[in-house]
Amino acid sequence: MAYPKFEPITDMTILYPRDYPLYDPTVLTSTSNPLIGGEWLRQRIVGSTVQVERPSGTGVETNELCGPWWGEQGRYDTISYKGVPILWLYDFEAFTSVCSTSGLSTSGQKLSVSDVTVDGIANRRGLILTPAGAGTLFVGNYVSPGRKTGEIRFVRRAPRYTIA
Amino acid sequence: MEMTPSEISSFNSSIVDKMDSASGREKTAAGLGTWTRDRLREVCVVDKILTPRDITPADCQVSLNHDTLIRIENIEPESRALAITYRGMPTAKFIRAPRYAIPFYMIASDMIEKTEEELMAYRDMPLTRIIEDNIIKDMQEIKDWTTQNYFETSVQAMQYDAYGGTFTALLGTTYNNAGTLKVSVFKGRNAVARAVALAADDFVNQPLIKPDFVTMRKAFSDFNRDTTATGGRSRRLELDKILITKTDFEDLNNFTLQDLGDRVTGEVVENGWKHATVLGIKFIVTIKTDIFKPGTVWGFCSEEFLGKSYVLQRAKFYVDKVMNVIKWASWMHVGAGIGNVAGIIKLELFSGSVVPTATTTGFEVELPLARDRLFSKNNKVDESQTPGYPAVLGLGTGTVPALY
Repeated sequence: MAYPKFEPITDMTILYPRDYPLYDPTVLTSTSNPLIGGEWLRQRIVGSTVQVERPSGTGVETNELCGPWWGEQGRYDTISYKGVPILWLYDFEAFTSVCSTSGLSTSGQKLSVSDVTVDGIANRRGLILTPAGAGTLFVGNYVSPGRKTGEIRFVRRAPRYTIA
Repeated sequence: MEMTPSEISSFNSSIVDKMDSASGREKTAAGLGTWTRDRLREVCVVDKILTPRDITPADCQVSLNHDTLIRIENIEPESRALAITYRGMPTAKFIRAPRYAIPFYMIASDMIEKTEEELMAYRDMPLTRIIEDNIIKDMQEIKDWTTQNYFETSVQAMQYDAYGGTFTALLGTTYNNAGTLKVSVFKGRNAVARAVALAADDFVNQPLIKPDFVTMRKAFSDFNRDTTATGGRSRRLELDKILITKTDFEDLNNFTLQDLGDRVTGEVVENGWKHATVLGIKFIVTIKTDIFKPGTVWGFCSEEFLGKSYVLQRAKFYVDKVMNVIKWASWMHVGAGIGNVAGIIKLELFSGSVVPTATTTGFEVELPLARDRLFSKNNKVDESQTPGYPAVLGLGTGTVPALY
């Protein structure tokens, strides 16, 4: 079993992962457009219920209600349930390789959610260095490189916007 | 057993007391009492279709990539015969049996929390005991919801295959056309008649009539045509039971003298439908009309041709106390799978289409409510500023409506 692509290192019992139905559950079983463990999903309202979606190819995330899927590709419980547990309520620390390490070198750099390439598949939603400029949503901070190439250690913080 | 007020009070107190010791954190037996109930809670419906069997992790398989379990089930292998000449040889068949996986998932109640001080306010009602009883049925309701989705997927998959891999709307207005394929989804006769008369399809549920049961009886043994004249298949199954809402089931009481004959008509007029079968079909009647919506009747072949249901872990109960806050929850691990998607049929008593990607506007009304829309309450006490006497919209919020 390979390293998970997303692995929290904060006590899970205080994080309260919350399950949400997927807007497009076909991503759970797709081979061409799979949902990868640790991808960041954002909430959307469908009718009067809350679901989560991966808005591929839309650039930097602007919805503050977003968080990583805590799970691995192909999990049987998620396939049954067609929903995924999202870590979005509290701050935590984690390793992730659903990210772009480009420009990440200094502790505390701001991280945003955007399109990244994972395992050669483009448009997965992961962490990037927050682009320069005011008014960009950032969701956490870079801590250090991870345990292997392409992985980072980061801390998720309540989303907020950059100022000038 | 009914509890007296003093017993109820002492029951709630005993919960508080027992939380102070580890040995006391156990399920406490007690009877039900004298409070007003909000609604009926029904046991699991799909357990009557796929009988759940206990299973252990040793009977399951794990994945190389993650830590969740599946149970792998075999399906009987295909075989056939052919006519040959004295000198001819039969074709070879390298035998194999297909398999399918039943994934397991967890169903849990809310983490229910209450301070012991506030619990004392429930002198006349064993709050903790009621919640404890109800959450088991609440969890079973979620199992029904999840499995109902499997039913819908199964029948739509059969229709999809018949149309050569295309989702095609099933409408009352075109239902009787030669090109309309009815493999696993059928329309009620009244729904079709309404659509033809109006030249429009909608989601007004029409009453169930006797010919609709005949349609379901014929379905499993019928020859299912496909888009080519030489194609099609016979599934060679038999209808074993139907799942019907209480709402639609009441239509049986409207069956006429012509439908029933004078003896049965007399019985129905006197007692309602009390027979164990209708047209020889066993039925399961449910009041969970937010999951199994009225207007849809499900038909199933015998369980041995349908699928499997397992319980990996029966309901577990957790209770704890942190300072003065009592917390409790329950959860279970279950899994169900339809190995034979041809084993389910559906009768729709409306003319509009609920076929994925080929729906008629407003189709959502015929589908189960979303999970977080379930468990709605009936009473309006909380909505009123006069407890026990609900305010009525339009008569002034918070005021007692003048009835006379």
